[in-house]
Formats: sequence, structure tokens, C-alpha cells
Amino acid sequence: MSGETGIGSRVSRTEDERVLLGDSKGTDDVAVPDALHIEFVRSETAHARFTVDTTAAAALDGVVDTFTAADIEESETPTPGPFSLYGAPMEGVEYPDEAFLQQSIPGEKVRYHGEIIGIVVAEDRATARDAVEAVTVEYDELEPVLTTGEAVAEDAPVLHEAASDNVVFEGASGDRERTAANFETAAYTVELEKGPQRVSPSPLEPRSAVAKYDSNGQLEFVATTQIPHGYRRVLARILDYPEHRIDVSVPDMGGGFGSRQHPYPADVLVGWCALELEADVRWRATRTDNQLVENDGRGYEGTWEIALGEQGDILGLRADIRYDLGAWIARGACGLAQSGNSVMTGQYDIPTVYSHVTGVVTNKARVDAYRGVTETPMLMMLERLVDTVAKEAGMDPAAVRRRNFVEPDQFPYESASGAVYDSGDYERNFDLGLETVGYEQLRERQTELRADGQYLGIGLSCWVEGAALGPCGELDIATWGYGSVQVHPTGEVTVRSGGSNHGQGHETSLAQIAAEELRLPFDRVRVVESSTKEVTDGVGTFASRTAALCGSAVVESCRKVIEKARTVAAHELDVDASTVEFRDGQFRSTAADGAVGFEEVASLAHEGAEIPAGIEPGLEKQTYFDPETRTWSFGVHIAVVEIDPETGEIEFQEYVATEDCGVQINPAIVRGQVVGGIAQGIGQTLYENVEYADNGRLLSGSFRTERLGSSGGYTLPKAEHMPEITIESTETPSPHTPHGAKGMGESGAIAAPGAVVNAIEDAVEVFDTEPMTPPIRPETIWRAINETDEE
Amino acid sequence: MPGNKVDVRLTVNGESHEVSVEPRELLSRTLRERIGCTGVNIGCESSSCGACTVHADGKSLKSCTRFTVQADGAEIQTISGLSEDGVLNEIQATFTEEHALQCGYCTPGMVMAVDEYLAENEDPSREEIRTEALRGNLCRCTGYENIVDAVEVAAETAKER
Amino acid sequence: MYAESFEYHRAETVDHAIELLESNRDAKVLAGGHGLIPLMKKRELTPDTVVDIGGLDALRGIERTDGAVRIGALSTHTAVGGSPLLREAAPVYPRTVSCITGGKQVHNFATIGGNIARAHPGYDYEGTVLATGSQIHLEGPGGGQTVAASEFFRGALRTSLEETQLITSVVVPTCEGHRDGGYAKRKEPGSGNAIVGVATDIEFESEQAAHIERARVGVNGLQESAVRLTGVEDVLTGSAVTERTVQAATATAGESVQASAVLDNKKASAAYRRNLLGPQVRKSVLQATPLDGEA
Repeated sequence: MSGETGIGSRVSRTEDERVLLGDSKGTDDVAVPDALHIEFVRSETAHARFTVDTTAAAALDGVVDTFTAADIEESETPTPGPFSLYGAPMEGVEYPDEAFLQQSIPGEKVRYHGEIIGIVVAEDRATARDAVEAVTVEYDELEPVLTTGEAVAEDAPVLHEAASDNVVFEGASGDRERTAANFETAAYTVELEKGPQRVSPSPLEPRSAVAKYDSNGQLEFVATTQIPHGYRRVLARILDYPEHRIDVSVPDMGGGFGSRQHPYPADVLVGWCALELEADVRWRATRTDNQLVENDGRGYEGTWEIALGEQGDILGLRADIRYDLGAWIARGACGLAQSGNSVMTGQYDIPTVYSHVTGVVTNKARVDAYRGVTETPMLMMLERLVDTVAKEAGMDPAAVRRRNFVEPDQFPYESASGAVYDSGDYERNFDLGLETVGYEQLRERQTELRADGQYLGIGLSCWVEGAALGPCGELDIATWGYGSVQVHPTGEVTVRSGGSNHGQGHETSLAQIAAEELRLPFDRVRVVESSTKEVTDGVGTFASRTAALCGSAVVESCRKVIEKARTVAAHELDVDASTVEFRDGQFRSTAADGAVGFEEVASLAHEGAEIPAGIEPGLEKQTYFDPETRTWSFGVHIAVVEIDPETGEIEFQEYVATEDCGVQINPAIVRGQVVGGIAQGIGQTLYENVEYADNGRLLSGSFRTERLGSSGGYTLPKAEHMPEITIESTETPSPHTPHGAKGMGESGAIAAPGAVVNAIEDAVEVFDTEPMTPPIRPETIWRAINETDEE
Repeated sequence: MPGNKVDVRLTVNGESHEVSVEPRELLSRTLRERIGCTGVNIGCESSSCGACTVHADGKSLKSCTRFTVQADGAEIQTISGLSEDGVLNEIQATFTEEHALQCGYCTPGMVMAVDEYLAENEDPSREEIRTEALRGNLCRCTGYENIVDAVEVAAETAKER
Repeated sequence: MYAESFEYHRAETVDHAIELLESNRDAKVLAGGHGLIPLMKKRELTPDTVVDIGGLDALRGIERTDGAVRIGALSTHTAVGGSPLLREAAPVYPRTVSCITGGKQVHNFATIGGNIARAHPGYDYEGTVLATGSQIHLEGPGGGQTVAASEFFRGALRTSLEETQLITSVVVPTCEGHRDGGYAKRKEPGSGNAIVGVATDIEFESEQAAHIERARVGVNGLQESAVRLTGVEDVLTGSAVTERTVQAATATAGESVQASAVLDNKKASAAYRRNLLGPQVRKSVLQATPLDGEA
């Protein structure tokens, strides 16, 4: 019964079977007979004026049509409008100049390598690909802006002439004067610089979109998106096409990690082609296309500082950040600075902070959300600062943390950066982590090994994850979670959620919730997501929101269902509804004998004859769950490494992670999310780096390259690169969700970088190295130890 | 003439197929688009990710790194061929028991690689699983830990029998 | 993802393959395809003609010949790695192959011929071919040719192989006594290719002999082409395998290397590569032959 497959069960996932049978279908697998194939002409340079001539391509056998921005402008089909932002980048900061808002296809100037400048539509994909080669593009190259420093320099080339310079926004959170004062009087202050690093989310399935146009004018997309309803909304506006004439569905999708929480120019243009040609069209990115233009993550660089009092109290934090946004802005990008600032105090009770962020454009791909988002650099730097200042003060980094944690009785806790943490128990969780890894013994061992010329490093990284963003009024976008529960006359249930499952196991976890609430066997619940046709509304799956928000909506809808069912059962038992309760799948009354089963109630409700007067037939309820506040998960990651000073090689000895995300719906899924996030965090720290050449062309467009002298490709971690991971959990329920679950999923990507960098720097502490910016390679460490400049 | 089509015969999961393909057509494309094997996935362009792994004449192969014309007469097995009548085989079942997949995109290739490895290696250590069994495959979701668990459990289960 | 169109020919015999190469000047040889196909997919290579030699069984097989082991050019990494003959006669070969990247999927189809024809500095065979004194047999319009490794490998992605020639086999001279071999590779995580890979080929008069009769050490990844570490060889040859010997060998690792020829790029600086030589030599030697007193 539900006990085995309700909340807390490790039940195997429903979605697994079709994958393992080979029946899982991605967007490119969806059969669309006679669909035309689109390939895009993409800029080969980072910054240039250009002209494009598709005449030769259009004349090729099998090519149906070609389009440039000029063709699109001329056509009667409305020209796509620009993308838009969720809202102002930061509180108190103006909405950026419209000139920065991404256009789907420029007509005169390209601003990043890979930007779409032409469209080829052909009868088959290989022909389309061949035809792209026949398109002539002339570039009048301009000097590219490739770093944030270059972007703000005097006389910098300007990317968007209509804007006055390359600065998209500039703003700050916190109290500048008070923070400065605390820094003045602090016993210890540490400043750490972080150089720029972009990482690429790189879901394994490249992006893809199908747009079908039928004779009724219905435009239906099948696409790799994390936000089917949002995608519809955005494209309706950009294409100037009625939203109710658009449908979007997402079949099985091979990952997202935030890169698909907004549509792209390619999605707009695929839709445009369908409208223009009144035909079904489809497109699929190659891996190179994907790496070229799918958004990068992070893009933060700057200086972070911490002030510590004599006794070890953190007195203040300061950050001065430049934020590389890429060539255009859209959707979430700017607002990420706000969310980053809001978490800058992490788990600590810090009296004052000040964070100043300048967002600039560069001639590179867009930067937007990627698992961990700006929390990752903010918390990585915070945790590095804590370790560094602790050592400067001669204190144990663990002790300094303990001294500064927000205490259990301080919740709900409002931080100096304006975040309101719902609940937490940091020290208990921290102790669990340290105990699990054997912290004391490790410190002893570290000392012993040092004497032998062996270098062990222990890195702590306390993290918070503010997920399930909301409430709606706080941000300029809808933040509710949608969940409906339909009870079939047979007593089976269809749960519809406004999320979009792409690895998180919603078909399972949301079914577990319904199974728990409705006391049903798990296999009598089906979960439907990812479709505007099948689900009334939704905001999507990103920012770790679904379990908390859609899950809460499902809980509430189940409770509404039970409420209505009670009245039907009462009617059937001929008693007052107030005497009826639902237990073990049956409705019983204290006022009479007998029971009515759930199935029977469903059947009665559906038929509608034997129901109380004044209520409608049917048994289906929906909920838009708007959270009162964000939920705050937390924990600590502890990395233990050994470094070979001769070669700089790093070997993991241990990796312990604690996770507190409130009530865990499916602990196996939770664990999977943590480990997956850690892999991405380790990737960012040791292996991954988006690389551009001096002329702005992307070098890391492939997972593997043998190009002579290159750094080998965009390096995703492999199984052999990962440590064995131990995970322990505590459970501090959220006071704001009915099931107590908090949003989770990004902790690994948030906490691992801090843990690993701290471990490395702890290991080589005796060598008095300069701070290192990820990705940290063995040679980086070797150089830091040897400070060699003989080459 | 460049690109003139070539007739190729293949057996895929026990069924015979005759296709007429340009020499430049990759085996992965033929399997996916002509034969309908949605259990062959394309994740990269550099033969790195292994999501397209199939068995060709009993040997694991990244089907994106073979022209279909090279596979004339070959017996191909994809992940669909491991199960019978919708019943998961041992390795497939272990993958779901150990929660070794999340988005599932890498999974078919992963399972095909593991299937071959376990047929040739009875008692792998976790280290060997990481460095050998999974060497040709990438996963972006799971962090590999549960996949290693699944391979370990599958190996133990096979030994017990 | 889509290669450019090309004309496809399946060679029936070696002579037929050579004929095809001769009559189609913009032709590429397709063996296992793991070097060629990725480049064609990205359109970095766009040959008009592709000559598929995959059906030439004459180029397969690993067998003993007079004083040598002949490895057919189409021998896959799996075949070389699993060859009991090589494991005994020249163990550095299977040890090296076990470090080639890509996974079993690649090993099942990629070939030794394709690997050495490409002569990528980061590939793994060169050091081994060089250290073992192996010779490369070629066939061309002018007939057969036997080339020493040092003559065959001419630089990064450059060999003596002409457009109309085929590699037919790699011939590994055997020794009378006992042979050991090791390959220690520091690989680049992205490509899986070698930053520095040290191949050690060691001969003993017999399995019981205490002193190394001959040691040859070849390193790939360090420079454009593989080179011998003659300083290390001098220390090892004639010595017993002791900690002291190994340390002495390690200490001389960089000495015979031409510093200016060491690759200096994003994978690794020249200084770091040279720094790696010592530790990699140590690993390689100890893999080939354990210290005296150990099993």
C-alpha cells in the first residue's frame, strides 16, 4: 500500500522502464512525416558587420527556401520581436536598455561566434547541411570584447550602438558604510580574487525543436525546453501569435540543468518558419551548435572579502563583482545577480554585507542559469574566505564556522543580504558531516603525513540553497507551482503537474505524494507533465522548484479531493460530513456503521446521481501553489584530497556530503541529485572551462578534440574522475510546504567547488601558494607550489 | 558519382533490413531514422559520449563512428534487443533498482557497454568499473556513483548464478 | 554531423587498395574509422574518395615469424591487448594498448595501422613502436618497404607514408630471453590522449636473471614524435632492478631530451612535461619489472 511507495520510499522510478527498453523518445525521435529540415547559418566570427547571400544555397536541389533577417523583415509573417527579462536585475536598479535584449536574427552585425544569421529549409537534413556551406557571408570584422575588463575600458568597442556603453546594469545590495566600518575595526581581513570562468551546462541531448502547423492555424511545438507553458508564452509574444493557438510538449529530454529554462533564437526561428511556410519543420543542434550558443553558466569574477573579529566572529562580507553576460540578455540573466547576493552570507549570522555587481556584455554566448547559478561562486568564495581567514587567525576552520552559524532559534532568519531563511539546523547537520568524515582524526593524520612529505587536504564547504522561488509578488514572474489531481471513476488517479521532468523523477515522486495522500497503491497513479495540451498551466522545472511547489500543489489538490470525497461519502452513508474521516483508503463515519471506499466514491462522484445537492459531479481538483517564501535547504560538503607535490596530481581520499532538504519524497532520487550536482561541481573545479580564442571564436565546441596544442575539448568528468561519495541526511521540514519538502537538486553544484578548492589549498598550505582560480589542473598546482617562471 | 547510394543489408535486433544509403551516412543515423531505434542516442560529435553504443557482431561499437556501408552484413543489437517481450534483462533491471539513470539519455549506450564488459569480466572492483567498464561513456546527470553500484550488483548477481 | 559526400570503394585486395589510391588522388584510407570519421563529420577532412580496407583479412592477425611477431595493420586495440603471444613476447604492447582512450567500443574497431598512420603526438603507440625497435611494413605502387620507427614518424601528424601507400603490418623483433614491458601515461582528461607516456621495453637473459640485459625507453606526448630516453636506458641496461637503480634512472630522465623540442601548449607547458618525465619513468619501469625482492 502507500506505506511502501508513499513519501519517503525509495521506490524505483516509473520513467526507467521505457529508457531501458529502448523506447524513450527525445524531441528528435518524434516522427513527423514530411517535416522540412532546418539548418542555421551561424556566424563564424565574434564581432563583425556582415552581409549574407543565400542565392546559391536556395538554388540547390532539395532546398525549399532560405531566409535572412532581411527576408524575414520583408515577409508578411510578423518579424520576431526581442526577448525580454524577468524583471530588473537587482532591487533598485533600472531595467536595462532595450538595446541589450536579444534579437533572434541580426541583419547587420554579429556579436558572438555561432549567432544565427541565416536559415536554410530543405527536404532532408544532410541537404540542409550541405546548403549551409553554399551560403556566402562577408564579414567586416570588428575588434571583439572578450573580458569584462575590456568591456568597461575606455574606448572599448561597443556591442550595441543604441546603448551608451557595454554596461547592462550596475547595482549593489547591503549596507556599504556599515560594512566598511566593520572592516576597519576587524582584527583580521582577507581578500580573495577570483578570475573569470564560464562553464557549459552541456546536457547530453543537444537542443532540438519541431514546429507543426496545421490547416487550422494551430502551431504545435515539440521541443527541448524546461518550461513548456513558459515557452508557449514567450514564443507567442515574440512571434506575435495567439497563445491559445500554440501548444508545446516536451518528450523525454536528455538533461537541462538550467540551460533550457528559456527559449532561444533557434526556437523562435523554427516557429517562424512553420508560420511562414505553413508547414511542419524541424531542427536539431549538433553538439558544436549546442556548445556555441546554449547559455554558459557563472561568468563571475572579482574580489571577495571577509572581516573577522578577534574571537572569530564574522563581522562583514564584501564583494565587488563583474558579471560577464555575453552578447545579449534575456530571461533570467540579470536577475541572477540579485539571487547571488541574497545568499552571500551562507549559513552564517553576519551583521552586515555589501555586494556590488556590474553586468556587462561581451562578444560571447549568453550567460544564464546553470545549476547552482550565482550561488555557486558566492558560496565558493565565502567558504574559501572562511577557511583562509580562520587560518590567518590561527583558528580551526570548523570552529570558526560553528561560532558563526545561524542558531535554530533564530529562524525564520533574515540575513543581512535580505534573504529570509525558513528553517534550519546548521550545527547539528555540520556535526553529522564532520563525524561522518572523521574530521578530528583527519586533522591528526594530516599533521603526521606532512612530516613524511605527504600532503593531505581537508576542505569544508557549508551551503544553503534558496529554492522554490516565490512568492509571486517578489519577482516579476509567476512563481507558483501547478498541480491537479483527477480521480477516474475507477479510482485511479492522473496527476498533472506544471513542471517538466528531465531526469528528476517527477513521474515517480509526484506519484508518491498522491499515493501517500490518497492512500493508493503507487501503480494506480499516473503523472503527466511537460505538455500544454495535457496540463492546464505551469511555470516549468528549474531552480529546484518542482518537489516543493508542484509537489505542494499536488498535496493541496489531493486534500481538496479528499474534502469533496468526504461529502460524497457522507451523503452515501447518510451522515453529516463532519463525522466522516478518511483512513486507510476508506471513508468512515463516527456516527454510523459502514464504510465507503475511495473507488466507490470516485464512481459515485463521476456518475453524479448520488451526490449532495449543490455540488457538481466529478472528482478533480487543481491548485496553484504560491509559496510564502523560498525554502532553504542546507548542508556541508567535505572533500579530502591528497596532492603529490612533485606533479600536482590530486587524488580524492573521501567525499562526504550532508543534505537537509526537509522531508525527502524519494531518498534515492535525492541522493542521485546530490551526486549528480557534485559531479558538475567537481567538473567546474578541476576540468571544465569554456574557452575562447583571442579573436573570440569558441575553442571548446566539442567534448573532445585532437586539435594540436589545444586543451583537449570541453571536459566533462568521467566515472574515473569521481570520488566515492558518502551522503548523510538530516530532515528539517519546511514550515511553508504541506508535505515539508524543500526544493533541492543544486547543492552538489553549489557546494562542491568550495569543498574541493579548500581541500586543495589546505593540502598545499605549507607551500604558501597564491589562491587558484578554477579550473585547477595538476599543472596549476605544481606551478603554485614551485612558482616557476623559468619558461 | 560521389554519394551514390549503396545497398546495405543489416540485421538489427534479430530483424533483417535492407537499406539504400549514401556512403556518408552514419550507422547511428540509419539505426535511428530508417530503422526506428530510438534507443540509439546522439550526444556529441567527437565519439566521446558513447550514447550511441550498440553491439555489432557481438562487439560494442560507437555507432556514430561507422559508416553504414561498413556495416554491410553485420548483426546489430541495440538496447531494445537486450530485453525480451518487454521484460528487462538482469543488467537493465539492476540499473533501475540502483537508480542508475536520471534523464536516461546516456543509459542505452551505458547499458550496452556494461553488458559487454560484464560478459568478459566477472569480478570487477569499483575502481575497474570506473576506469575500464565506463571509460567510453559520459553521463552528465548521475555523477556515475549509482551506475558503478549497478555494475557491481549485476556482477555479483551473475556470479551467484 | 554530416560528412561531405564522397565516392566509396571497398578494396578487395591490398593491390586493389593501392590501385584505388593511385587512381584517386584525393582519397583517404578507411580502416577502423576512428581517426578518419570524426574528422570527416566535422568536415575538417573532405576527401573525394574513401577506400575502405576493412575487408582485407590479409592485414589482420598477430603471428610469430622468424625472430619477430608480426602485427597486422588492421589489428584492433582489443586484439593487440588480448594477444597471448604479445603478452609473452613484447608485453609493452598490450600494456600500452590498455591505456588507449575511448573505451572498449573504440578498442574493438580502432586499429594499430590507423593509429600510427595518424601519428598524433598524444597517441600511445609511438613510444612503444620506437622502444621495441619495431619496423613498419608498407606496400605501395613501387612494392613493399620496411621502415624503422624513427624513419617512419616524422613529426606531429606526419609520417613517411605516401598517399598511395598502405601500412600492412608492424613487426616486433623478439628476444631470446625474458621480456618485460610497461607504459605509464599521464593523460589529458579531455581528449584522453597522452601528455607524457613512457613506454619501457626490458629484456632479461632469463626470467631468473638479476641484471637487465637491455632496456629501451620511448616517450610519446613529450615532443612532436616519440623519442628514446637514452640516459634512462644507459642507467638501466646492465643493472639490477633496485630502488637505487630506479631512482638513478628517474633522475636522468630529462637529460637526453632536447629541451627546445618539448611541446609547450595548453595541454601542458614544456617545463611541466619535463617535470613529469621522472615520475612517469619510475611508474613505467616498475610496471615493467618490479623491484628485486618483490614477486
